[in-house]
Amino acid sequence: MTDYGIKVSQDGYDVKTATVLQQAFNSEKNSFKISATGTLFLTGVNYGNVEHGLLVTPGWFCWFDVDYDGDWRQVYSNLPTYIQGTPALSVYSDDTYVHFDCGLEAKEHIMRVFYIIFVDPGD
Amino acid sequence: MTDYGIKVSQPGYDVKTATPSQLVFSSKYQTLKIHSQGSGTVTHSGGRIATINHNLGYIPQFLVHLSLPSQATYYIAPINSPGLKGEVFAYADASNLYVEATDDFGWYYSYTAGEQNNYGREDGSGYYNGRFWLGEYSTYGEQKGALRFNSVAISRGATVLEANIVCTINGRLGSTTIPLDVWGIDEDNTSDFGSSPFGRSKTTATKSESVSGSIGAGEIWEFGITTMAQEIVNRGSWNSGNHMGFIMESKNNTPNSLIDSDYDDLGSSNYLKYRLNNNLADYKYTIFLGEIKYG
Repeated sequence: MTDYGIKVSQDGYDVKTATVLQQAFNSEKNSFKISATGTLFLTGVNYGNVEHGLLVTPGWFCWFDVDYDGDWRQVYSNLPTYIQGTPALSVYSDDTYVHFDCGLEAKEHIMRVFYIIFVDPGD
Repeated sequence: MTDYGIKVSQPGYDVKTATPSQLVFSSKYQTLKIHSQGSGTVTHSGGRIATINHNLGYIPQFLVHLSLPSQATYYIAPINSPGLKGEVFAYADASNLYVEATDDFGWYYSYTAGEQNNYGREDGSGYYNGRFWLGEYSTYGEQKGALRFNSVAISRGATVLEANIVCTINGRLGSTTIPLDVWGIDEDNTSDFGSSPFGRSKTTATKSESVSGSIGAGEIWEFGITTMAQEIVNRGSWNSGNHMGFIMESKNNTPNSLIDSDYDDLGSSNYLKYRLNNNLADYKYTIFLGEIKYG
């Protein structure tokens, strides 16, 4: 294949010699592109979902705030994220939804979840 | 809106027909742009929290990876660890990113495990196992108590940064503060209290303690025994996983002020907690320019 593409280096680096990590963009390397961001409110319930419309299982990041104390905590995987004194939160995706699933104790709290859903598959 | 923009496809894909995930770049989509990155360590002496100022004025999106000290294996926050309680977790507000260990993270625990022979009590009427009393009660006189903890996982000679005994009090008589002295049992692997431990060698390290008059039934009494635990694990034949014992002797006559902790009741959960590392977790963080928006 012909060697063509686009590279953009970071400030201070020569694009012809910059390593991948010194480049801001390289068309040989895919990057996560954001499909959607938003906030989901879980009040009196322990489950919610977001339909993403991507037809693939997307990657995601999310953070949650329990009882609206203003501290946004990172959620890490499809295993329940439990922080002492807060409900466990499990987040997982399939080809239709990103699911936000909490323990029953979440019904005793108000929670809001900020999410980023990527265009790109999570695997 | 006019349909214009920029697309760059991955090698091997025609940019005109590539799906969104086959594009390396599309001006239709935002990407995560990095504001700052860094690393550090959450320590007990540092208040169990690391605070990273981001100066963004809004709550940023972020990603934190954590490793148990010196393990160099990083996991997305939060983390916990087998054998340890609590978590290290990450959160942000409009000023800072925080990486914080819960109060119980980094402590190890050894228990009396509800075993009758891990409790001892002695007064003028003789020796009994299965509970300890401290203080002075009626004609029984001043009390001596002893506790034994199973399988203490401290290597020989390791530095014990902090060690505490945590007792749940089953019963309380009177409200006078109960003074006492505490020693470790100066043995490599002290045997159970089926026979009285009160004649066993005591550590050189000792400590004056007291049970506040305000501690009542069902409440927790916690006190430090760091130097005693250190002396025991410094013994030449101590091994990790051995059992460790402590003796408490009431003093100064406090008639009719007494606490009781039993092996088969609330006190079955008595335990020894110890901390061996000041470093709790290593972290690497990325703060993005994107904002966590809500409301």
